Amino acid sequence: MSGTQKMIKRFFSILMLIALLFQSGCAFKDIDKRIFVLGIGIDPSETVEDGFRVTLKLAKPAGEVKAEAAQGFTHLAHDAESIAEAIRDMETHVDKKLEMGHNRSIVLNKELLSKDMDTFMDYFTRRADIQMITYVAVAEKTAEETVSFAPDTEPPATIALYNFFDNTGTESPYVLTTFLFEFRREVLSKGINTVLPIIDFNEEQKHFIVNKSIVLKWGEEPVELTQVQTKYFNSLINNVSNFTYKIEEDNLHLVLHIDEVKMKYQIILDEGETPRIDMKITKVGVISESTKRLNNSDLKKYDKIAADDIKKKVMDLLTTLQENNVDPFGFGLRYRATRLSHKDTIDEWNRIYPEIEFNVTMDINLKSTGAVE
Amino acid sequence: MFEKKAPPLFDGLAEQFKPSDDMIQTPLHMNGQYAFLFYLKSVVDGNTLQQTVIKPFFEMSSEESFTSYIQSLPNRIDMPNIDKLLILLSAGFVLIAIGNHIFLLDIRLVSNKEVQDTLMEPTVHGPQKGLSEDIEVTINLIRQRYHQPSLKVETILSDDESNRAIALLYDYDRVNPDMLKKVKEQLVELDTPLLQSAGDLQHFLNKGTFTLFPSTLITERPDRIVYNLNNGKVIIVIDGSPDVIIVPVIFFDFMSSMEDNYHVFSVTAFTILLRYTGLFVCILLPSLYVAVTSYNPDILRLELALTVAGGRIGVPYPSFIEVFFMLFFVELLTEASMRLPKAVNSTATTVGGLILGTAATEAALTSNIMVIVISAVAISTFVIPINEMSFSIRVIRLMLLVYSALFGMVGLLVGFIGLIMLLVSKESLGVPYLRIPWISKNEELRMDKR
Amino acid sequence: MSRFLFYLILVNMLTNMVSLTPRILIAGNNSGTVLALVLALPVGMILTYMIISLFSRFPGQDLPEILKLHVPKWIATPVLLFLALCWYLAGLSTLVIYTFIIFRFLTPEMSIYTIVLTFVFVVTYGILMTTRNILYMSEIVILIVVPFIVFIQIKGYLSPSLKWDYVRIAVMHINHLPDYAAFSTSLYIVIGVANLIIFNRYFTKLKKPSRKGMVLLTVVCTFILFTTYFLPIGFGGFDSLNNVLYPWIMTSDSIRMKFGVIERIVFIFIGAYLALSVISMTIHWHVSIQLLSSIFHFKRLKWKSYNLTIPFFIVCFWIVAMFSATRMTVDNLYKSVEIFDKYFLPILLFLLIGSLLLAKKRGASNCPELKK
Repeated sequence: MSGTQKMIKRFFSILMLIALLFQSGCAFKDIDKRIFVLGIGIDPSETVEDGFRVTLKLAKPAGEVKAEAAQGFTHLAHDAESIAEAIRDMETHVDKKLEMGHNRSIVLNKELLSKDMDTFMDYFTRRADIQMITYVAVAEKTAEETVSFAPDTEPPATIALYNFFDNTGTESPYVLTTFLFEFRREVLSKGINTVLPIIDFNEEQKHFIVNKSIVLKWGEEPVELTQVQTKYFNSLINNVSNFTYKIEEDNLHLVLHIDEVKMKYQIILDEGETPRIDMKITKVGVISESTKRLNNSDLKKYDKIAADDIKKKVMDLLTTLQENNVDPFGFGLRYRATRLSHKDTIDEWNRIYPEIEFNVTMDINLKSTGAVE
Repeated sequence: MFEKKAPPLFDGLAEQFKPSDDMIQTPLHMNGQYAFLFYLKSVVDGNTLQQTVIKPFFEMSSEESFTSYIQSLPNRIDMPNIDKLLILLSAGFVLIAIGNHIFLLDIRLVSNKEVQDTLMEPTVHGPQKGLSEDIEVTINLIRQRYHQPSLKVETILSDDESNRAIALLYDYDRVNPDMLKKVKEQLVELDTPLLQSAGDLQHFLNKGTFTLFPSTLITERPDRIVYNLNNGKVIIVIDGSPDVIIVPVIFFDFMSSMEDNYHVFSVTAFTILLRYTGLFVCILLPSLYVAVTSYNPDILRLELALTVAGGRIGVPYPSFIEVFFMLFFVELLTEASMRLPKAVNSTATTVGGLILGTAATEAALTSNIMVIVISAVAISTFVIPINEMSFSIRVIRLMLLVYSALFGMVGLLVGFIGLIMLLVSKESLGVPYLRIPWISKNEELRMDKR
Repeated sequence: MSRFLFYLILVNMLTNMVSLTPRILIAGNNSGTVLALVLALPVGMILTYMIISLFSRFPGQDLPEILKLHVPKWIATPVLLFLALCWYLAGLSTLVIYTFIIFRFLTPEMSIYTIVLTFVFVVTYGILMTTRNILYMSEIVILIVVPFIVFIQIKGYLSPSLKWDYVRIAVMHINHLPDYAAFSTSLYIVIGVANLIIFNRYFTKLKKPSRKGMVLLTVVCTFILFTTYFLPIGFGGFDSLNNVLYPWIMTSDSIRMKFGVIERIVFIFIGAYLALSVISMTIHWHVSIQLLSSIFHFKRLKWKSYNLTIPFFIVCFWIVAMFSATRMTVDNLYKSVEIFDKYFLPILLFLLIGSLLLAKKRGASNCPELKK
């Protein structure tokens, strides 16, 4: 066997090697012949009807990153009828290949949110080289300005927008992160609405402001959440820590620092009763600022004060959402997830949701008064 | 009393050895007692000859008592046939004829008897002395470390011009008899004009012209030899070489250092992990660089991708030429520092490594990331404990590099699998080369080939 | 149970996680996939048990040998031919789907022809290796690759982005009658033991599966089968996955390694599965080629003193493979895999078990002391 096999193997290897030589290298493209797209902004076009203005943020690689003083970014913008066309056109505007694989942020104009999102979001999920962990956000001003804005705190070769969202840089309950796959999954699912962060920036002081969010509704006007609502929503849904909270009671000012948030809820549909959602929230934290001297034994009292106050805020958030008939918490999903499926499950939920009652139990657990009493 | 003549054998032998000047044929004569000596002066220890043969001859009272004295000497061996006799005489044996008896004594002068230091596989702990160039000393060293009656020593004379003694050492209780038979067959079949050292012999035992990996292991460490003997392997010792050959071997033998047995568990585990990481790094890293920079830059983290892209600004060649270029110089450097005398060695390394690397980056011939990659590869090549394997890895690396320069990331992965396939289908004397050696689980599969 | 048996099953199972299997499963998510999964598991386990215990009666013999000894030729030849075709198609579908995946996600600029060529070299070598060496190789590759896969799955299960509500919605569809396509597909995943038809040559001491082995196998199968279906749903949503071509690639792209050397897990994922796919292809085509060469032996096809039957088949294999990889669309492939799972698989299992039973019966009546 060995002799025959050896012959066969050699014959094949020579055949293959010859075939290889003819075929090789057609996809070979060096890294310096590619230009990395770091951010994509989409605005409605002013010149093309029903079109889009697409802005690309491109990285200019620098030989010596450490020696570089200024930002190494540049921008390209183009109007076209669709995203793909715009990007295809822009490929003729740069001498290098546009490399989408490193794109990590998609910024949308607010006006686009009420339109048919399939027309512009489809491109990103269809293209295989765009990461599913791209951050999707909404621009307070225009997407073009936001994408091309360079804040002062952005050193070369890092991208400020990434640090906002990827939880390795700043971590704040005001900053909400939505990945592209979450966006896709929630936009297309019945029983949940997508929330996107809003990016604003301060022209004079050269910094970004990310502290609001917006709830999308398919084909309708989106609902904007205020700063406080965003904070509450984010802390509940993502269990974000570093949550500070201020209580004013008589002449006592307390600022709480919450490390741990837990939220559980249950949809209860009893015969003869109005449907309700029992929500139980547990927060654990310490006091971080106070106008008075505090006593550790009074912690239970502060727990109570804080709980009452926070509960009001949460109720406010929930009812606002309900009034606008949006459901970013995904109560509808939970409803579907707890019942055997049948065709009308989602219609049932759509009937129930506007009149559902919220029953929030708030449990604040302060561990100490901080480092001093 | 007539003068006794030397036996006719002696004259025949003398004919054979003429016109060597160092051939001595001399009679001993006292009071009508005769003895004849025949030897080659340059390979016989004159002192011993004087002490054990000549002096007793003149002290003995009769030929009979001298005969029985010679007969009882420990270094006397039986008379072989004429061909072998010639070889033995040229190796330093002395022929003595007394009356009608002819004896053969081993009075060899071996000047390379000293035990050598371990140079190729140094360890921090463990024996610091290796083997000797003399086969007897080597066998002695091994025997002294492995006191088992089951340790067998079989000597085979090689068929080539040098007629070196080759000895097979094995533990009879542990060795696989089929395998032993195969080894013997291979040694007997060996036809080579000149056999110089263990390296030579290994080359002839590795069958086939196009072999990428060594299928025998050369070592100079007595502790490794004993360890392998104990595991049922066969040791081939060749006279005149301070190394021995261990057969059969599997891939993992090349990756183990004897020091693994001398340290505590955590240290050993760590070094083994380190070694295998080094192995993977030196095989994969250059190809990975090419595949990543030229086919899939989105694998890297963004910051790194930008740094790599920045580093490549102004580099005139595509990445694979860059890698080939640098690898070529590193290989040259390694090769040069191996051959150079020790005094010049460090200069070459400094010039090559430091100056060339920096200058190449400064001149924008390569990117600085590339220099890091290449130095990492060069260092990790030396982590592999057995030299032959690290030579093979250096070759394999290039093949993988070609494959991934042609096919990118897919080429790298599929090529790596191909490499595993090559290793798996290799055999060392009937033992599969790359097989996870789970203990006591070897019986599951039929071991014959099909 | 021998560990090599596990590897055969495991390779088959893992390779299918990425191929079209999850898509077929998800296509039925509104109907009866969940129940089909639940049904396929016990059926698959029982079949596995049957096949192993049947083969354990013929230690060290492959199916062609068994059939030659005990079954008339007019039955044996068509059965073997059909099995060879099935195994070839199984390998072919793996090749084509992974070619598509590479083309889509790894090197979009490369031509499909080149990508197939990448495999040709290595897989051909693999097919020609001895059966034993293929087993050794799969062991090594599995040892290298499985830690990565386990890591990715654990990472996926622990990710905060995984929304369990979607998974629960999927589970809540248990009240639908099982979907046949989903059932046969999940059966295909767990039936990797069928590779024994050739690999049994090396299992001279194959015993009936022990209870411990079967329990372990069931646990592993359950975990992988459920992960295959539910994890993509947890990441991609329940209603939104129907039009995703490669749900698992999308899932692995959604998992992020915040502090890893590589941030995007998808590359590790594709790499690990690519390695497995090469092994799977090698195993399938090795079986196929061995079956074919047991039926046909062209005496005339000679070059010098070497018989070229096997090279001839390999060249045929690659020509068909090259043709189908370049001509097929994803939809064609999807449909053909579905047909394979729906119709070929049950026939295959029926023929395999049937012929073994026949051989066993005949073997018992003809010569009870045939093999020792």
